[in-house]
Amino acid sequence: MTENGEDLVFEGETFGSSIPLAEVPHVVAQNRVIFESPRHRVSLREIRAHSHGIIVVLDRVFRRLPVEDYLAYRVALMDSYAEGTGALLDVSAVDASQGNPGPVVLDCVLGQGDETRNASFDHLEYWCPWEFSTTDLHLSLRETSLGQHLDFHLPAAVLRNAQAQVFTVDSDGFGFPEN
Amino acid sequence: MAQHEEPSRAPDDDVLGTVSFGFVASSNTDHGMNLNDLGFVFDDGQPETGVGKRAFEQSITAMNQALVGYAQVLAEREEKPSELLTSADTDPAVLASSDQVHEALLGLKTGHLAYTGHPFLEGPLTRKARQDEDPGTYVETDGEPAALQRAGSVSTGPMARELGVSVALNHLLYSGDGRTVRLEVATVHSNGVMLGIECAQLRGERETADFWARRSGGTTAVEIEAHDPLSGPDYTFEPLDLGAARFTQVARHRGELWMPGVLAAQELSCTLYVSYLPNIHGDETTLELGFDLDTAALREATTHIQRFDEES
Repeated sequence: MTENGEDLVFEGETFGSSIPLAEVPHVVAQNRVIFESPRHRVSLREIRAHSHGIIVVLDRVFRRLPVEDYLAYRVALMDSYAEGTGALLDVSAVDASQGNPGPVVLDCVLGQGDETRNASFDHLEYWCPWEFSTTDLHLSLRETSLGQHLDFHLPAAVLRNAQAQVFTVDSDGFGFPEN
Repeated sequence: MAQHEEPSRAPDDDVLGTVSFGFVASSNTDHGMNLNDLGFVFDDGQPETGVGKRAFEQSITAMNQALVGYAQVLAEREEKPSELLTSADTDPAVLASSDQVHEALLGLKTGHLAYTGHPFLEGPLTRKARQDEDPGTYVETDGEPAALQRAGSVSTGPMARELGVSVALNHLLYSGDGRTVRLEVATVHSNGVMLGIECAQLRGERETADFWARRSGGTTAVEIEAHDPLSGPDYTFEPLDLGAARFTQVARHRGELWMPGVLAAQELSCTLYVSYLPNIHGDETTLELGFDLDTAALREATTHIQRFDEES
């Protein structure tokens, strides 16, 4: 949020071109803490399923330690951002025999930050452009100040079921122009 | 579209770490604990004394430790202790230990409320801010902005120190004449619910670019009225202007409307009013949509709220 109280939003360049706009996504709440330390908390808030992809929504908290001087906390916070704001990789498709080339970096389509005196909150959204059938989605959060890769996975059944419930809004007969 | 097992995107190590992204840090002094809204939600309106008693006892211990720590810091500066407590003092050690006392006091108030069902303190517990404060620094605020407190306004947002719990709604309230309205997700906080609303406009196949630009170019506003049909209270909330993402064929208007205090309702019947969302003909008739929120499910979600100042 700016000093004028306006939210600043940074969107990936591909937003709007790869995420289907003419459909209503199906939300599946997750609320899973996937990393916890005195300094950090990373949680998987929800997934937003589209017909041929999902948006993975993460929350990340950088906390001021209980006895930490405020200026020291601010320096640590800035250092953590300098170390990386996070890249989410799909590491599921790593079987070379299948012709898969390796981990895929997912587009970060939304990043928003807010801050109080004692913590910084980041809301992150990543676009994963696959249709899911039987293979679980294995993800890895890297390029952060966590000091380690953060691996977690989403079951294929959950993703497949969510994608099956996506509502297509052009089904009411209005259609869209050709261009 | 490629299947998950067959990604169409080639790997490129050079891409690592180059994802375009930015963060925004703010110095918003309006964010802070809202003591006016501190509370627990109890079944049938009655406090759960076992949980409350434990919370109260733990808060007393924490308060004692915080005061002892504060006294030690003051003792180290005992040459002029009275001056340390004036508004001009900015010694980091004093402020840090003072912060601990503030934290403990908040815990004490919360514990008391959980134990007895009643607050023992009213009003903000805020260190007096310096008049000439550097705008680049932060002031610990325990409640709502002072102007709002004076005006008697209700809570303007969730507790600053907790991550809410997402409850998927996926409730399509309206679809027709080139418009859709749906409830996407409810984010549950201990002092209320943030309701995610998305309104969409769909471009008609014979809609010209100019007409579409005019139809989708406005600011859509939503407002909710709610009442509890069992226990009676009516709830009104601040109206919300939705943010818009406009594309060639679809315009999406999204926002989160803050609903403080609704977790106390046994049932919640709501009416959503959607304004300035022109239909396929360009008419701006306000939509009036009814829906119910399952407050029992939302209350259950409060047990999973993450507070960043708690040990996990």
